[in-house]
Amino acid sequence: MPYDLSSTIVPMEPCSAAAAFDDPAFVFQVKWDGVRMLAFVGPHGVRLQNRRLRDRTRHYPELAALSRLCRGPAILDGEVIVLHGGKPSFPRVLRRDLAGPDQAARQMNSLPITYMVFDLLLAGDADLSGAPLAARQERLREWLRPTDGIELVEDFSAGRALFAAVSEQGLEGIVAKRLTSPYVEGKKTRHWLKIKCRRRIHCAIGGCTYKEGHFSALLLGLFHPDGRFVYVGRAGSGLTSEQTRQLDRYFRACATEAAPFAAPPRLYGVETVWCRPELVCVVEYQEWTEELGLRAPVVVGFSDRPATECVLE
Amino acid sequence: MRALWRGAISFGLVNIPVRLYAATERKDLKFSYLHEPCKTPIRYRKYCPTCDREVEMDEIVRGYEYESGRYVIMNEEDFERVPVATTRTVDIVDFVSLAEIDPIYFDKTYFLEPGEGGQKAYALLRKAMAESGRIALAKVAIRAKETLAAVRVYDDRLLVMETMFWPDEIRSYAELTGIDEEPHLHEKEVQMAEMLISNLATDFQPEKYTDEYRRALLDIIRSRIEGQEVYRAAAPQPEKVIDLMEALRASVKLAEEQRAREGARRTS
Repeated sequence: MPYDLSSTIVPMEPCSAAAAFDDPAFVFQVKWDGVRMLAFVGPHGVRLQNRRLRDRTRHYPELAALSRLCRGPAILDGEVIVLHGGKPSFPRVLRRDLAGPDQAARQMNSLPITYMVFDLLLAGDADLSGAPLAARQERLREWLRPTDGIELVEDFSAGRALFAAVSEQGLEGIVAKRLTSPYVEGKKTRHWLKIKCRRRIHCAIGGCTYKEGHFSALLLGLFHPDGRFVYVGRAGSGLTSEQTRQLDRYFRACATEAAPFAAPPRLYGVETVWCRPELVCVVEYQEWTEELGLRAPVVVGFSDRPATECVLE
Repeated sequence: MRALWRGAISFGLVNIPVRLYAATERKDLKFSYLHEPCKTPIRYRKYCPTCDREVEMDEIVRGYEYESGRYVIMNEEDFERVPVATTRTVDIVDFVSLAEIDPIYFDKTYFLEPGEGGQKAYALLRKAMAESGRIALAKVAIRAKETLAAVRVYDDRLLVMETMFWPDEIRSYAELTGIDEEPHLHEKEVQMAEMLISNLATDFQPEKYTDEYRRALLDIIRSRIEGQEVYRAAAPQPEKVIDLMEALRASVKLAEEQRAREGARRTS
């Protein structure tokens, strides 16, 4: 059935690729770290729908402006981000997205969003999902007039150079899109390929686990802006045997009765030792999970940065 | 208007699917508590004085204080085990006449709208109730709690449900000793009072009554807004994506120029 403004659409997803590449058959875009959002733009209003098909219209009232900015009815695909320190902050956008609709709407000023638009599936009454990406993008640039807070995602032709630049900035990664590809709803296709950067973050250590009497992993935390110390994951790999011995001594000396985390993790099959969050380590991680945890964290070093500066933002 | 829940009226062998909506709303003005110097809304935190730290939702359980400082802990399974047959049904048990129920029993009113396939049975129940002049007493489960309710015809068109207090929730006034006495009343005084009543007697016209207090408060608020006497909660400056894009463009360009130079060197 062709798309119209009442459609429900499962967004198209990229497959993972191991390394960046250059190929004239592809365009390359920044992978914006936020929440995926489809906007159904009608003459009298805008409806928003997320990746899980949930309605988000009341969460982001600022996107009602799309009615004015589009030349006619449209279905847009893009990513809602919240900038912090000039870069997209996943923890911040999640704070807004997971709030109730009334609360999220009130956060318009405290957590302002930017909608990064990268696809157009309907223009007027023309369903564009079968058209090649290049044609959809050309149409999108005519159809939507960007403004502050509603931007068009930029295309790059150099994949490897963009990946290097994105890594340098500490962003999530890039997406390569085949110029001839149609919009394939709800599928992970090789038409779109994501290449993720390993990113680094400073975490305060709030405890560790022992497995069968042996030191096993560090429990990582960050300070929420409201002062809570939040658990974000555990990292066992990346530690040398010398570091493990030192950490073992540290925990024997500094163990505390109470957990420092606002919501201590419940871990099964391991013994947990808590400590005050004073020691700071640097971890490399793949991405944020939707539960605000670090995916696949690996310890790459320790730091003398004060623990209180390890902030969730 | 958003349906609070979907369920069914169960009436003998008939099941009428219905949607339930709140029929009334409070219009009291809500005020936020702000921190005076910065005008930031105050936030409340859940705090445990024993552990001396803030606690999260998933660390909280429900306890029943059976005597001061002593609790029985009730978890979700305990609540689920309580046998309530009326889950999401308005289970009609009796038909009575409305005049028999003192208004003291009524709590909240809900509109009932027929759900898919329920239109005919809904209309039938409405017509039969209107003609018999009786209303239905029902047991309802709202938010895991069983409630007594009355279902009646409203405005000749709609079925509404009034949730009711259980009889043991109506307090006794036995301890109000001031009303016990029956002083001697003069015939004249009674006549005067009755005359006063008949002078003020009228039909009930709801539009006559308005909330003067709310209007006065709103007047003050509006004049403050017009006089620009308003405060904005401390908010960060909106950031723009443009700086980041410029940095990316610059390093991509640099990398490409470098590659072009290297390529030129190799071919020469």
